[in-house]
Parts: sequence; C-alpha cells; structure tokens
Amino acid sequence: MNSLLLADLQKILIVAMILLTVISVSRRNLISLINMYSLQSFILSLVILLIFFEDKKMILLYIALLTIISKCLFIPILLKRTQKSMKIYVDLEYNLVGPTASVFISLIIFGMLFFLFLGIKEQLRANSLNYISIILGMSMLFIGMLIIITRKKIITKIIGYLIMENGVVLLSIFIGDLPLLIEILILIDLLVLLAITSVLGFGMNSSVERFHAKLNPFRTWFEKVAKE
Amino acid sequence: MNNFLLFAVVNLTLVLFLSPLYISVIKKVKAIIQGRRGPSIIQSHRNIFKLLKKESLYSHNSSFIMRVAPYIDFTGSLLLSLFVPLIFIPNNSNVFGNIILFLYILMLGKFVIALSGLDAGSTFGGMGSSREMSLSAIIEPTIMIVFAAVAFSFDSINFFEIIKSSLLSQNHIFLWLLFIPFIIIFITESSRIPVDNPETHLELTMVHEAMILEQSGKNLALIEWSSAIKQLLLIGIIVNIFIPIGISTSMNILALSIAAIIFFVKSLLFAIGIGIFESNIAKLRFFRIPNLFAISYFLSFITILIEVLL
Amino acid sequence: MIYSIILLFFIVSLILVTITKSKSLPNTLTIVNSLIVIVSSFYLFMHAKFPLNFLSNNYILIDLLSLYEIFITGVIFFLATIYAKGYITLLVNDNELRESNIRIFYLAYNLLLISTIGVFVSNNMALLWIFAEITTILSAVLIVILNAKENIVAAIKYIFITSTAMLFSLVGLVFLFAASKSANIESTLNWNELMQAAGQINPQLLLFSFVFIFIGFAAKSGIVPFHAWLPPSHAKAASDVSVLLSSVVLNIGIYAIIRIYALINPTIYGHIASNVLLIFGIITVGIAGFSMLVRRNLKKLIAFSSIENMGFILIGIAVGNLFWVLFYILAHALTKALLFFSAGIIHRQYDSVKVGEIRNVLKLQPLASFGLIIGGIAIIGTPLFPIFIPKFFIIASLSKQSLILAFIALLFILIATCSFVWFIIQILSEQGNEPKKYTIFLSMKLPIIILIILLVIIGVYLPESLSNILNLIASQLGFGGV
Repeated sequence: MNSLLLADLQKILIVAMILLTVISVSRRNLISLINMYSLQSFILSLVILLIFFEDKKMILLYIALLTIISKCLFIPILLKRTQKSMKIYVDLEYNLVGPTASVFISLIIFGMLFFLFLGIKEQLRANSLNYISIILGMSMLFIGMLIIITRKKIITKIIGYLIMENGVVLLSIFIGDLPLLIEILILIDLLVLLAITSVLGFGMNSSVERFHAKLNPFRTWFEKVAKE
Repeated sequence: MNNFLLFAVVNLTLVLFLSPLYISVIKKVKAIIQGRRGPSIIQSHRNIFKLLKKESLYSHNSSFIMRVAPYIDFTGSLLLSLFVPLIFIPNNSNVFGNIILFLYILMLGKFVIALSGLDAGSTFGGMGSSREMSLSAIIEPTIMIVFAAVAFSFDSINFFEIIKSSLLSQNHIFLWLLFIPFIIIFITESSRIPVDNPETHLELTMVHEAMILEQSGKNLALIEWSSAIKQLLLIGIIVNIFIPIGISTSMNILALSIAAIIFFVKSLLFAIGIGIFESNIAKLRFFRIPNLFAISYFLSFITILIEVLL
Repeated sequence: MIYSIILLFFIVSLILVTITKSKSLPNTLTIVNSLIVIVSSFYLFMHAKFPLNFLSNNYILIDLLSLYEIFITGVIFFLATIYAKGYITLLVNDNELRESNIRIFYLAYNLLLISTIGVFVSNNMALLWIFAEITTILSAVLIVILNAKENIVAAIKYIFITSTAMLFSLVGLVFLFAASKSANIESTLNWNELMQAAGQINPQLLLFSFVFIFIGFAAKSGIVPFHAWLPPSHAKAASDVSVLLSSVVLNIGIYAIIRIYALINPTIYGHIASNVLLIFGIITVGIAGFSMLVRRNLKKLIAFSSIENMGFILIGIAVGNLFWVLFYILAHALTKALLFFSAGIIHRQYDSVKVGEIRNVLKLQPLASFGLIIGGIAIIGTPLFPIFIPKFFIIASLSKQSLILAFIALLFILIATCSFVWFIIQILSEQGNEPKKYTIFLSMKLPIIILIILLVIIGVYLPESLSNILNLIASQLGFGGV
C-alpha cells in the first residue's frame, strides 16, 4: 500500500487515541469509561493491523485479532458484569486531584516526556510520527497510573491499569520488534484481571452475610420503635 | 484596495442579513427533534425588526453605559465581520484578519455588555455579568492556546493567510485534534448548551441572558443581532479552516456565487449538527465547565507539540 | 537427564496434590519437593560447571547466583512446609481456613516454589518478568486463602501495586531490547549475552531502561515509595505465607535489580545508577525505621523491618559490596523466617498480635517468645548473629564513599533498632489475665529450634566453601570480591 496513505491513517488513529485518552481521564460515568476503553483497544488493534500491512509479519495479525477479542469484547463484558453486581454507576470521589486538574497534569506529563526523550530520539531510530506514537504510549502509561492513584472506586482503577497496558503495547510496537512478548503480556494481564475480578466477586458475595449481620441490630430497634 | 472593498461589502451584507437565520435553524432543529414544529425559519429576522421599531426604556439608576453599550457591541461585531473570510479571501492585510485583534474585539463586546448588565443595579444583571466574566476569564488562556495551535500549524496569525494555506495544502490531519477545542470555544462564545441555555426563562440558570435582561427595544435588537453576527463568524471560522473547499480567491462573479452556495450548505450543515448535539446533551453544572476548557487546552497543547516536531 | 526426572516429579506431585483426598499427603509431597531442591542445589554446587545451559536459545541458564538463591529458597520452603504441617490444622480448628481450601493452599504453595525457581533460572529477562508476575498472582492467592474480608483488600492492593510497577519494568525491558540492537547484530534480552556486550550498549538508553526496570522490581521488593502493599499483606496473611513473602518473594526483586545493575555498572553512567539505588535505599531505611516507632501490631512491625532490610540491601548493592550483600540476603531470610514463625505461634495463642492483647507470653509460650527474642536480637544486628558482619562491612564501604550518608544510614538503623527492642520489651512485660494455654504441635516448634541453631552457627563461623562461592559470584558480576 502507499506509504503516504499509511502515514495518514496512522495519524488519524493517533489523533483518535489522544482524544479517547484525555476524555477517559475526566469522565465519571463508569459505563462510558468502559465503552471508551473498548473503543481505545479497537483503535489499538487497528494500529497493529496498520503496522502489519507495512511489515507483513503474520504474528502481528494474530496479535491484532487477539487484542480485539480479549480487550474489545471479553474484558468489557467482564467489567460490566462486575459493575452490575457491585451496583456502582458513577465514580464521584477523587483522592487528590479533580478531573480538571487531572487533565492538566496529563498535559504536563505529555510535555515532560516529550522533551525528556527528545535526547534519545536518534537511538530509538524513530521518525517523527513514530516518535509521537512512542511518547503517546508512554504518556498513556503515566496517565493510567494517574487514574489509579486519584480514583477511589476499584473499577476505575482497573480501567486505569488497562489503559497503562494499552500504552505499553502501543509503545513496544513502535520501538522494537517484540511481538511474542506482547502476546504473553496480553495473556498475563488477562490472568491478572481475571484474578482481581474473581476475587472481587468472591469478596463481595462473601461479605453479604456480614452486611446483613450489621443491619440486624437496626432492624430490631426499628421494630421496637414501630411497636410503640 | 478594490479587493478589500469587495470583501468588505460582501461580508457585511452576508453577516447582516444571514446571521439571524442560523439562530432560527438551530431552534427549528431542536424543536423537530423534540417533536414540535418549532418557530419559522425567519422568525429571528422578524424578532429583530420588530424590536428595532420599539422604544428603549432605561431605568432611573442606569448611566450612560446602558445607552452606549449596545452600539459599541454592534459596531464591534460589524468590525469583526471584516476579519473572517466567509466566501471570499482578499489579499493580505496586516490589520484586518489578525487573530489577536479578533479575539480582543470579541472580548471588548462582551466586556461592555457585562458592564451594562451591572449598570441597572438589579441583582440578576450582576449575577449574569459575574458568571459571564468568570467564564471568559477561564476560557481566555484556552482560546489563546487554540488559536496559537492554529497559528503554529499554518505559520501565520492572519485569518486570510490561514484559510488560504488551508485551501492549498489539504494534508493537515493533526489539525482535527483542534476540532473539539474549536467546538468548545464556539459553544462558550455563543452561549449555547452545555455552557449556557439560550432559551431558558429561569433567571437562576441564565448566564448571558441575565446580562441583557434589562435591555429593551432598539438596544435589545442590536445586542441580539450582534450575538447572531458573532455566532455566524465563529461558524465561518470553523467551517472554513477545517473544510476550506469552495472558498474563492478571485473576484469572479461565478466563483463568488458558487462559493456562496457552498458556504451556505456547509454552515447550514454545521448549524444542524450543533442543533442535534444540543438536543442530546444537558447543561453542565457551572463548576464542571472548566473541565471542558481543560480538555481543549490539553488537545491544543498537544497539537502545538506535534506540529513543532513534524 | 536427571533434570527432566525432577521436572516430572514436580508435575506428578502437583497433580497428586490436586486430586488426593488424604490430609497429610500434600504436605509430605511439598516437603519432598523442597528437599529435592535443596539436595540438587548442593549437588550442583559441588560438581557442576557453570553456567549450565538447558535450552538451545539460552533462555534458561543456571549460574552461581541463581543457584545460591535457589538454595535459599529451598531451605526456607522446607522449613515453612514443616511449620505448615501443624499450622494448617490449627487454622482449620480455629475456623480461619476452610478445609476445602487446603488443597488450593498446597497447590499454590508448590506452584510458588516452581515459579520462584523459574524466576531464578531464567536468563531471558522477559521470561524472568513473566515468572515474577506469576509469583505475584500465586502469593496473592496464598494471602486470600484465609476466610477474612480484609485479606481480599490486602491482596488486591498487592496485585495492583506490583502489577502496575511491573508494567513499568516491561517498558524498561522494551528499551533494553532496543538498546541491545545497538551493540549486537541481533537484539536480545538474554542476560549473559547482554553482560558480554555491556560496554558497547548505548549508555543513555541503558540508563533509561535501568530506571524503568528498577521501578518495577523495587515495588516487588517493597522499596519506598512502592511499599504500600507490604505491611497489610504480611500482617493479614497466615504467618506461614508471610515467611514465604518476606524471605523468598522479596528476594526476586533484589535478584533482578542485581542483574540489571551488573549491566549498567561498568558503563559511564554507572555512578548515576549507583546514586539512584543509594538514595532509594536510604529513604527506605529511614521511612521504615520511623514507621516502626508507632506500630502496635507485631506482624506489621516485622513487615516494616523487612522493608528496612531491603533498603539496606539496596545501599549495599549501590556501594558495590556484593559479597556481603549476598550473605546479608541469606541471613535476612533465615532471621525473618524465625521471627514470623514465632509470631505465628503467638497469633494462634492470643488470636491477635497487637500489643495490648498479648499477655504473659513468656509463661504461656516459652519457645515462641524465646524465638521472638533471639530473632529480634538477630535482626537488629547483634554480634554472634549473622546480620552483624554484613551490616558492619556495608556501612564501612558506605563511609568510604560518603561519611555523611553513612551517619544518616546509621541513625535510621538506630531508630529501627530501638523501635524493635521497645516493642519486644512491651510485649514480654505485659501481665494480666491469662488465656488458656494453646497446645502447639511439634512440627511448628521444630523449625524455630532449627533456625535458632542455624543462626548461631552461621553468625559465628563463615564456612570457607560459602565464602568461595560468594567471591566467585561477586567477581562474575563484575564487582570486587573480599
């Protein structure tokens, strides 16, 4: 394919990725966060497909397919189910910085990384477009960490972790050819996520008895008052 | 010279006669989505002409500001219409078309209206003025950065040159990162949902409307007209920078008419899009508005970094 | 040949642990597994030529450092399994552990043993990363296995903080991969090849990758500011599991940091890396020391002591005194195991480990309190116990580099020491109502006795063979010997 067209497509995808990242930082609605995450993974797999058209390594195609299946379908469904069972819809509390300040801090992160890595741009052997993608990947790493630190609800923290992982995948596609590692990374992260969500589900279920036990004294008091 | 005269005449006519149309179009689109028939397309024109014939009442406590402010505002808007090429790009001029001058004349209009809101001494006027001014203060750095990003992308701070180079080189994909910031600025400057509801009748939810609550008759007509003009100009900027197809650089009658039709279509589509967008979204809480500005700041800054590098 | 037999035995024992209905078979199998590890590492110490290669692509390689760490792992697992024999029964009796979960416990136990050995034998840094993540998940399973809800929170915190930091070290590995392209014809993540080409790798890129990789594995070792997961997990987990966490899993992070530091040490940016390690180490020791002052929970106190020791190990690596650092790792593993074993017995007796609730402990559980006293004396660095000598020599090397930093480190260690001693005195002198004496199985008392004897022996006499091995390791990695 025409390499200029590929470069243009890559630019479009990078633009979309930047937009999605910044909107994820400031959204509070959990379902929209999950949807935005699956959109982001979809764009990531499009990027992988783009590189596949350029380099023609079969393994990239498999990784793209694996990414679509696991991150655009499987993980969002898992998250939505957990969220439904936990009955939380909005993440209203912030630990240190609010949504506006988070966006500004993400900007500072992006700028700092941009200038910090300008020095080793030649060693990474990246042209300008790839350099922006690398910096975007690395800033997604830090922005994901920002989300983990500043939010209180656990589902948002999990999404922050997943954004970090997306950033690492984006980064490693553009730096070197490490396809096998990326695949293993995806699998390990699925494992970690499965572990966390199953532990969450297990924990929430097992706490129901304690929750009812806590409520019981109130119920008897209430009945006593109602009798009078 | 000739070039610029033609440009001035064309723009002024367009702006004076076409601008209220867009307000009605957006209202009609929102009404259709809500299932009503809505006001007719030329209702805004009728409103303004009706108001022009009426007498202006002034409160006893008001000073000269209330009498002068609408005229300053209207003149400012007419001046602004010479800055933005809508269907025709004249030869370069150092004064007209300058982005920074554009921004500050915009702010000047807003400033005098805010003063006039305070002038009548009513509480709602003061409340509206303070809200409007705080929003302006917060959005000003954002507007600066957004326009700076545009200037970086096109290497110029003159609207004429920017649109001309956007017409010539079609490959500015990273410019679309600025689309959302421009939309946010448009919404704030024309006081639309989600920043401010232009159709509200509850004073506690007003921002812009509260400032002009005390105005009546000719003054009100001038203020409404000037905000319609500003809205059309902003639509013109957005539509011509991002999709510069069809704008003409020559004084040919044929080219001008084709450019007029294309511009009409583009801007109507944009207005319809804004109407649909407004129907789908609710007005934001006042303290959540800086969030929008932070997003546009972020996107514009990144565009600057990228454009500097590439 | 014999390695495949060992591997087969591991797999068979795993399957048996899953399907067996007998109560004592899993424990026996685990003891046999750890014994195999100890015996085979002894054998390899004596007879094998290093490095040992297993796969043709150099992914798995055993060299002296790996073998040393495997040996420590085997010893700790062996002692912990003996302890577990009685401890699990007590836990089930106290309703802290469900009987159906015992199988999962031993399964995770054995898998943890295998994956820890996997970490130590991987030559490929990516494989090391994968095994380290697996150990995170397995140890989290071991933490969660108790019936309490707080354990879930502690385990989630653990997984989160560690996995997040591991993503950073993955980025570092990617950078390392790109950096190795500049030195070799073919880019690689195998440590021995990287070590050979260490001089030619682009030092700037290597420094970046070092910082990222260090962040990841420092979180796994509990270095400040990534230590937030350590006190809750160690305090809430069963004491047996805390032993494993403190003495084995923390070693994984230190092992990786040693490997990556050996790569950057000979280059021109080596002193920057050394300064980074030094600063982090001193801050860790300081914060751990100050946190220990206000602790009222015995297990959290011991956990913070682990953090302090890990910080001290970082200081030791930074000054380049690898011989004593390796000895310190061994000494710390043994001493921490002793402390946690004693804390486990105390927990069973009083059902809590807080200061106000432990009364008359010397009369009720003499062995456990004796273990606590000896362990406490040992961990603060008293002569006659093995931690004293490495601490002395590391501070001496530090003072050669910078006297002020040595004083600051000594001050922080002094604060930690005082808090530990004061806590122990508080616990031991508390009088009051005596709860009923809890009978502790012999299998729980045995490791404590063994450890006390071992500690005294190693503290007084450093075997010549051990010193030779440590010297060899230090020189292989590019540091000077002693």
